[in-house]
Amino acid sequence: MIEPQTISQAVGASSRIRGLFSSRLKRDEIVLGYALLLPSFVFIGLVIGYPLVRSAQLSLNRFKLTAGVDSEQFCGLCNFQSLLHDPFLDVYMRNQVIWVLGATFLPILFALVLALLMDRELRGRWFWRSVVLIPWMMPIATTALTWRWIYDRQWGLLNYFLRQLGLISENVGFLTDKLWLWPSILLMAMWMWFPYNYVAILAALQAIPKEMREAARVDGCTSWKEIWYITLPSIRPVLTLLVVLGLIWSMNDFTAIFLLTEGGPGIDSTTLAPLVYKVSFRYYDLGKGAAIGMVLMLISLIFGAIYLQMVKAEEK
Amino acid sequence: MSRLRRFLRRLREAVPVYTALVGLTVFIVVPFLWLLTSTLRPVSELYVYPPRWIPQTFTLIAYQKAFQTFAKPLVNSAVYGLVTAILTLIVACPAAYSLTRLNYPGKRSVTAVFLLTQMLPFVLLLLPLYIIYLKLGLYNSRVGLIVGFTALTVPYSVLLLRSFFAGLPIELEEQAMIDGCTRLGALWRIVLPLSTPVLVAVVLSSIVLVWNDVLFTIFLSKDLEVQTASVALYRFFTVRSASGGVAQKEVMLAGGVILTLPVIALFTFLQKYIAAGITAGALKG
Repeated sequence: MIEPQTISQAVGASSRIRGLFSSRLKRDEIVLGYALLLPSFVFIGLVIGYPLVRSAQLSLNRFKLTAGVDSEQFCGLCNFQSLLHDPFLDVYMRNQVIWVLGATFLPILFALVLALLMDRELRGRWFWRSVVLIPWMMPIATTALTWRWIYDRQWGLLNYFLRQLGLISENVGFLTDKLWLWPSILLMAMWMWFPYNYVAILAALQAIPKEMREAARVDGCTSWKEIWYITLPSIRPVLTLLVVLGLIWSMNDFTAIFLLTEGGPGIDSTTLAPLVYKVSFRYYDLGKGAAIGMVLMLISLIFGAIYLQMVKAEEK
Repeated sequence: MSRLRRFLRRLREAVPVYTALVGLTVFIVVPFLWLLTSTLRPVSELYVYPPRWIPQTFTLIAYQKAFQTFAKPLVNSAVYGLVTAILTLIVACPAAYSLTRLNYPGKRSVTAVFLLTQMLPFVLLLLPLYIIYLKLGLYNSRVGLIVGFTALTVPYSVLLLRSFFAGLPIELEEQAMIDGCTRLGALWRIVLPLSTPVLVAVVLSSIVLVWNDVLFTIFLSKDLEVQTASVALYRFFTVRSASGGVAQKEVMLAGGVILTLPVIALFTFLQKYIAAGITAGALKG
């Protein structure tokens, strides 16, 4: 039988010991904490950290491979100036704005409509649910290949379809004609990026308490009013998050446009991310390429900061 | 009478909803179905006007050719995916544990850094990375690619694991440590066994990332011998002249389908984990 007194003594002793060693324990905890992080730092440092620092440095140097491998020289903001005076800057900026806004809002809008339609008792739920996931499961290389085939000037499905509808009288080069270029790119973007948004929005819709809707209906709300006054305000936090994430991702995205059009024809679909690649790897102007990348990164980080603030607010 | 009226009212509500759903669904499935049906026919039926939905002769010859062409890259993709997933778990679990259960200065900044790496334009990193890979002898090597992939998956995985670990009751670990477990012992014996869903999510997202990646592999390697199936496919449909272009269309399309099938399989079997991973990872950071 252990006396209560013994226990309290033991506890007292242990807390005294703990007090004695607490500074050492604390130091151990700091060491262990960083030791456990170390492996991830190694990978991220090599593949992300170092290249980032080197790019920042490059952006302040004049370094054209055409002028020699050791022609790197500090020049301050010369690359940023060269970018500002680029004769095609307006084309790049226009492309960037069209792409970022379109590739952010179209998928979200499509996802929202689909989620509102699906958020009810449906026959064949399983079927609808699987269908929605198809574009998500396709690797982007397959997606780009498929759409290139659909957009094919001679044998493409879309040309046939639009001609049947009488919207066009002869075949169109969707990825070469200026008028059709951006709508075609954004159609693919909408198709491949809505599922992610859809899953998030549907989850948010299903978290809305049923009572709220029933109350609205009892008060004589029509479906449209219910959507406008109850549903949309309830999922606004999710929608805002998706918009911010969409802006960041589409801003930095390289692969979609690169695989579909390679930024062409000419520079007509070149946004900033493919431009970084073109300037560095094709024109060998490493300094300017890095400078464009830095601009892109700074804009993303601003949006990133907004995102962090929103996440923090959400947690409170 | 009232029953009829109710039925009519229901119908009036349901008809527009189902019509809209069918419309959207057609838009969603047509590209995939068109890809699929394009691969099940001889080349002669690929180039016909008007396009035919149902081929007159069914044949799997495109798949046979595609399997020959993509066999090696497919194996590469699978191996890289698995190795990257395992490596990611080994690297990310301790990091996430450290960020949730240990207290030390700088923890919040580390978390923010992990989050911000998700928002970088990766194309900016490619040139310096290319140069350092050349110097270290990692360029065009399997090890180099796997290291690159792992660096891409780790930050995301750490965040995912962190938010899951934070939700586990700490009492269990304390109990284990009173019973003589070390910190790492508690991670290994208590935390990880309770975290199966999120571990599966990490493995899956790593495999899918490797499977889908084009950007990193293109810039960090040059030989088809070491490249992944996504990149092999990309090279096939952009470098037309090299392989007779037009004649190979059906092989490319079949390759596209083959590339999609494993992802469909993964998604189907493990759907619930993916949904859990998405909501935890993206919206909670």
